[in-house]
Amino acid sequence: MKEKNLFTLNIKMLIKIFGIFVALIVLLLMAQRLLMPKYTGKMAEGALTGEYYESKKNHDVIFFGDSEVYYNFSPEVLNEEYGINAYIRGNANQTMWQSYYLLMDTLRYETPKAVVVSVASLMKEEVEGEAYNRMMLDTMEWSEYKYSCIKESMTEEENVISYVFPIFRYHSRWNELSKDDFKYFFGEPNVSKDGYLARKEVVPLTRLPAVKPLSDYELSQKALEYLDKIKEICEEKDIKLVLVKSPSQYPYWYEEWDAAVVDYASKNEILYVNLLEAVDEIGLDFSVDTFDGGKHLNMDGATKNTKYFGELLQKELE
Amino acid sequence: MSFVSFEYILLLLACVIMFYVLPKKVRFISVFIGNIVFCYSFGFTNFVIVYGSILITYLAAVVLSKIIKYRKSLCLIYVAIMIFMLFNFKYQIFGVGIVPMAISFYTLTCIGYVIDVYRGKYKAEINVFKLAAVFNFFPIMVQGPICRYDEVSSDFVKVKFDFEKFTSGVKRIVYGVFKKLVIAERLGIAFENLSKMNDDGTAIFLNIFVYALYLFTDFSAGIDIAIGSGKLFGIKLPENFNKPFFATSISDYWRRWHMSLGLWLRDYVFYPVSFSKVVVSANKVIRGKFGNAAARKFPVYIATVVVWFVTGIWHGATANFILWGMLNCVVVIISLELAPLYKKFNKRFKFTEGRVYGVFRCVRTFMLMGVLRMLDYNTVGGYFKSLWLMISDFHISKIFDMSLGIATADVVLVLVCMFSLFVISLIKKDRKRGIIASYAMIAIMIFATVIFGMYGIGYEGKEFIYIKY
Amino acid sequence: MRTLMDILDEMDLYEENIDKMDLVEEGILDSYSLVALVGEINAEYKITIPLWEITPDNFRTIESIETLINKQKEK
Repeated sequence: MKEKNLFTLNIKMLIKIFGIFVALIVLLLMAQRLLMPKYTGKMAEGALTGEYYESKKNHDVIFFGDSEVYYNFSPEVLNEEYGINAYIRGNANQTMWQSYYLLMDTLRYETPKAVVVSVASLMKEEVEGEAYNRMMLDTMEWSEYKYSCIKESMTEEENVISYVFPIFRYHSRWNELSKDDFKYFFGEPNVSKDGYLARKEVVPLTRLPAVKPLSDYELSQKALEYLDKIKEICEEKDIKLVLVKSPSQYPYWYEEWDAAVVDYASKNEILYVNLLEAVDEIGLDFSVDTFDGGKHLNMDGATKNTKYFGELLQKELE
Repeated sequence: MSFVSFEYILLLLACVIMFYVLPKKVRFISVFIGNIVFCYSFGFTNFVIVYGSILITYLAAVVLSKIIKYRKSLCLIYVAIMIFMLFNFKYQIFGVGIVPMAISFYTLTCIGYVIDVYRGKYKAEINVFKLAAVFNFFPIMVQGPICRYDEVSSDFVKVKFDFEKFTSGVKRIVYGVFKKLVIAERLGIAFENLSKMNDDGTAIFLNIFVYALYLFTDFSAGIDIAIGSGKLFGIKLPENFNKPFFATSISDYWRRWHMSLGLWLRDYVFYPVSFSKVVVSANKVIRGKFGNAAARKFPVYIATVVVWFVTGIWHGATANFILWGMLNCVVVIISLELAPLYKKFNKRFKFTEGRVYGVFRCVRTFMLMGVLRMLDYNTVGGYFKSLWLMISDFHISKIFDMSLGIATADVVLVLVCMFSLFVISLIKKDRKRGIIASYAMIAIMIFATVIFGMYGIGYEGKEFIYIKY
Repeated sequence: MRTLMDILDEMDLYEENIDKMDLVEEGILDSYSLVALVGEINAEYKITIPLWEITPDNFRTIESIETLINKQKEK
């Protein structure tokens, strides 16, 4: 008899204790949501990866790259002018391996007819910093590719657990909470249009920094490795791969790099378009078409750029 | 492996599960494995030194319990070897390069064990693995508490799984982690910042409070984790702290602070010195020449001086620590001398029984201790300079403008937490808390630690202060 | 020859009903006074209380101290 009582007592207790820990987890999840940075306004780039999942996954073309794609190409223009359904999967300072993993992530949902990859990050052996990793990865859906991407991108001070439970990364924001954190607790409004960030301001290009020769023009081995992987998966899935260099006036695109890409493209029979060589045909005027002095195109510039590039793209898709 | 890490929790859990699954007689294997893993995580050299010491201890005790002649010499040789190793590794006399973790703590534990065997208090442990399991009990391998062999070892076999004990162990560990990550880390930053301002009298004064709280929260947090871990195995480790800031005198303080060290010193230094042949014979002369009263004081004072010298050296072989030890000694001896006067004073004036006077005594002790502890983080020269600046350069208005290196929100958080701790310490401990209430507290503390803990990117975790001892 | 009570009185430790008190719990004997007391006892009764007998239990009450003294006298 005594034993039976002890047993029921323990079950009741265990249920209560379990309840306490469930409550703890719920509160922690709520706190996690509250403490996560809300990717709007100045930090809008952080929302880019996640916004893809809300789109209709029936794209003809997907772009991959850093700010040279998500500021300089407009899917809306591609659609209006050429009937091409496009999405831009880019992030600030996105590396080639991050592009690869985003491609693999995309392939979980759809197989586009073509993939456009910006070559601007081919010289990058490492990520720019922890902050950029977080902006790229925080809104990415969990899959083996996210895990691999984290492992490849992680800086020394980071660990996987802080990506699984972002509260371990962002708990320090407790004394930095702003109105936005509460306002957007249930979600932020979209920042991009099919992955494109439109900027309407005009900050004309006045002066470019002097071009200094480099000691080493070798492209990053790691980036090339992952470009190869992109090429292979495109071959496997019968996707047309296009390499592009957008017409951003800086950072400076060295001839040596360009030559290496031309070489790579011809060896692998891939179309490579260097839009820097077509600035006149595109009709770009850097006194009105840029919002940051020539680094990226504003909406006018992006429209022109897309109109030009779209024609080439259309030919590839036939 | 850090005490406040996922690895430690995992190791602890694995060992605890093994402990209760294994048959009672071989339980210590789970602890032994845990010890090896923990110890090895500090490096191979460290591992060799620690287990080398344990082996030497084992052999010394076993031999001591078998031989009849030369027991005293063997005991003395053993003690000398251990002290030599302690000095060598800690103070790098022969420059090995690393300082084995917690060397000051387990050296004392080992010496105590061998002396106990020598004194015939209990038999030597024949099972070297069991000895290693106890002496290298990984929860105490960071900063103690310093244990006695018979207290810890007997529990291994007798212990039955007790959910309440287990819960209170979990609660204690979480409490320790909370104290360390939320409070101590912040105070540590403030302490470092204030320490840099060694030309500012106000900063020096403020640092007395900051350091006192920092030292206490940091040290007691590590002890909480240790004792809590022990409880998971059903093992009762000795307490190290008993509300030290409620101490009414320096002597009282040392009965509340680092108690395991105090008790060790009492049993293995204070009493042996007081009753050593040298002191006893000297005392006969004293008694003859100066009477009974003097003869009562002499052994006590001599032993006190020795104890404080040892205490100073135990903390560090530099002038500041030795001076610190000696100053404590002077204060203690003065208070012993003045004890009869105090007694008369207290009898005469009734207000001395009141609460206000009690608070006064606590504050007085706190300040005195704080001033003495300035030697922890100053050289002797710096110490006297700081004292002078505190008097000559103190501006009360500066206190609120002091840049502590942590945000105002952090300061508020620390104050709120410290106030809560203070309130909790006023509540009598005998109130039996229900298990459910305990888990609610555990959940709250986990929540607070996850949110407010100083861990992760941007925070450079500070090592526990006493790990370097 | 002084009695135990004499010694305690000389040490200013004597209190009323001390024979019924727990000397350790009540704080009458701490490590300092213990050392002094043992020194006095050893000198007065010409015995030597061994180190391992200096425990809280042996000095908890007047009675236990007297038992200890007698035990040492018999040696």
